Amino acid sequence: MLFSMRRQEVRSVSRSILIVARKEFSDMIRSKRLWIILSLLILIHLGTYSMVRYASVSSYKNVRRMLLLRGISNLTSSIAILGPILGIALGYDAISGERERGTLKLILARPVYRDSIINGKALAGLCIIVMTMGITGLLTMALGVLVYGMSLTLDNLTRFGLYTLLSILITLAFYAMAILFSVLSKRSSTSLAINIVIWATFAFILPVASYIIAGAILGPPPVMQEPGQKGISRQFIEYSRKLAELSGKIRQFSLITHYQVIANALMRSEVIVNVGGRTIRRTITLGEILSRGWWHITILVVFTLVCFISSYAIFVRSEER
Amino acid sequence: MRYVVETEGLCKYYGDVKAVDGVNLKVPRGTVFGIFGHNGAGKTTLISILAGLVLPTKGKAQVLGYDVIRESLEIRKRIGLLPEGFGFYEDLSALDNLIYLAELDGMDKETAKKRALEVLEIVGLKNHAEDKVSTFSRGMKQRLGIAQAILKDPDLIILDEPTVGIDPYGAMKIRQLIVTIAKGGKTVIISTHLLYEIGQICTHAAIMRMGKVIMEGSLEELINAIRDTYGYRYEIEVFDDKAVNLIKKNVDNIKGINRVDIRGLKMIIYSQHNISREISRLLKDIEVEVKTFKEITPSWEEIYAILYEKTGGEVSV
Repeated sequence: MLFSMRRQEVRSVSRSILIVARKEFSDMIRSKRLWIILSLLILIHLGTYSMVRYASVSSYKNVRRMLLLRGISNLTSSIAILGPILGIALGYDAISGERERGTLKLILARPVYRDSIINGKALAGLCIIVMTMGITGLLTMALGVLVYGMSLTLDNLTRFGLYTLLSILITLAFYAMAILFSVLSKRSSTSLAINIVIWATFAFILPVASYIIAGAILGPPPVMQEPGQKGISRQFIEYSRKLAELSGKIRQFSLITHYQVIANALMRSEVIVNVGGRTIRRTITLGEILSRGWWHITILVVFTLVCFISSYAIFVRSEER
Repeated sequence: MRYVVETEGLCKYYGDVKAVDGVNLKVPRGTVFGIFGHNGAGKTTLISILAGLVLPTKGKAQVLGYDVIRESLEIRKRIGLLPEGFGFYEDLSALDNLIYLAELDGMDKETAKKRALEVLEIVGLKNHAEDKVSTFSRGMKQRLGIAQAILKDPDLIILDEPTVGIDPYGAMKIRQLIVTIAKGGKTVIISTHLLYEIGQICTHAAIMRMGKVIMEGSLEELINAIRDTYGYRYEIEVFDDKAVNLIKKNVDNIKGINRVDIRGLKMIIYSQHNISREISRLLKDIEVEVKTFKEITPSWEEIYAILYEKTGGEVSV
């Protein structure tokens, strides 16, 4: 009897989650924000395609190499910037928007648990993010095959799969963060402003500030060249190494850095590039990337979980006055 | 079950603010129960507790026999609520909004659509079923709000300020709609800060001030209670000054008269007791031709003013 009641309750909760998720999914699919970001991602891929095609016909080896690497970097950077924007665009008004419209009270006046609402929204967001990043991942793979001449081996497919999962993860991390601020904020504009400030800090401010902070910690640099000596001084080289190391550590406060480290490693090291009949092959294996970079992935996963669990806990315990 | 709502010492505090403070309320089944009070009196908080949206700080409350703390889901299965400051998805049609809400009420999509069309007809919006809510006027949105509240054909309908911000004609339409719904045997609780609404559509009322219910009962009981405490008033209108003087001369013979005001050919007699029989007898005895003789029942504005003064507030009605 108790078991049957429990089963009925679980069914009712799942049903509510699916109803909310279906409504959210339909809203998101109809939203201009999603299509603008998806169009930008597709445009960047097409742009990269043109650039890499130019590289393959260039007669200068260094230019070819530089353009190819820049092409790969373009793709990961575009996801590192637009993925978080997509996450924020989908989630910044998830709860605050319902509050502002007054629809949250109408929903809560029905026999629905509060967690069904947030779970439904999270599920819809997850589906949209998987769909968008799935399309982006397929485009990247198409680029790899058509332009880089990459063969579809199990190893390469796994790398693309992981790259897509990683792109989903960075987008999801910002989606979870956006939901958290939408739960905490009374107004969607406040939630959006906070999310944009955090995103801008991670994407632009921290990379620049990391050098300034590292420089301030290390003090003024030594002279580059000692009088009467040829070449750059050893002290300067040592200083530059420390500066790079320290600023790199500071940049690790940014989620985007964690994504980029792994994404670049996955994309650069495993790509088999065929330029002018010569093959350039990276030697770092998938196992090496994962064993060295697992903690970057862990940070992304933990951040996403902490944001989502916090949103859940706060929303479930809050009251609509 | 005689009462659909029963509360005992119900309190809700937000920090130092006592939004609801020791409310004891009983709402009889099948009534239109008005909760009156001006802004900040605690009406919305009380309704939010009854609807299971807000947990009380202390005290007990049962709605349709279910406890608001432990069984709020059961309550929400059985009540229809029009909350204050509600809204709809503006980019969706009225029908789609209702279908979504009906599905959350537990209906399958087909039943939800059928029921949504039924309630749209009840509130007079069937012709606008496919229109986006963004094209609706305030009054139409309010009627749509009532439509969503009656979607699951609930036993108890709670409407928080249903006519607020609507033009007089729209408000009248909504009041008519509430009366129609109530005639179907439903219990309706309506919160309002408009006194005349209580007299127009309610059978029972509670008056709230600073989180407390200062008076509660049927309209008749409320009026009688006011009369018993604050006295009776009678109006006599005659045809000439001679009659006025004659009444004035003899009225002092009736015991219990506090004051007599004369305004032209009209006389207002104030008494602590019900003296209508004695006045009738006097008028017969002195053989005065009377145009009208009636008891002046206190208006809702007066009742509120009296209660407000009694509980220490300044009258602003």
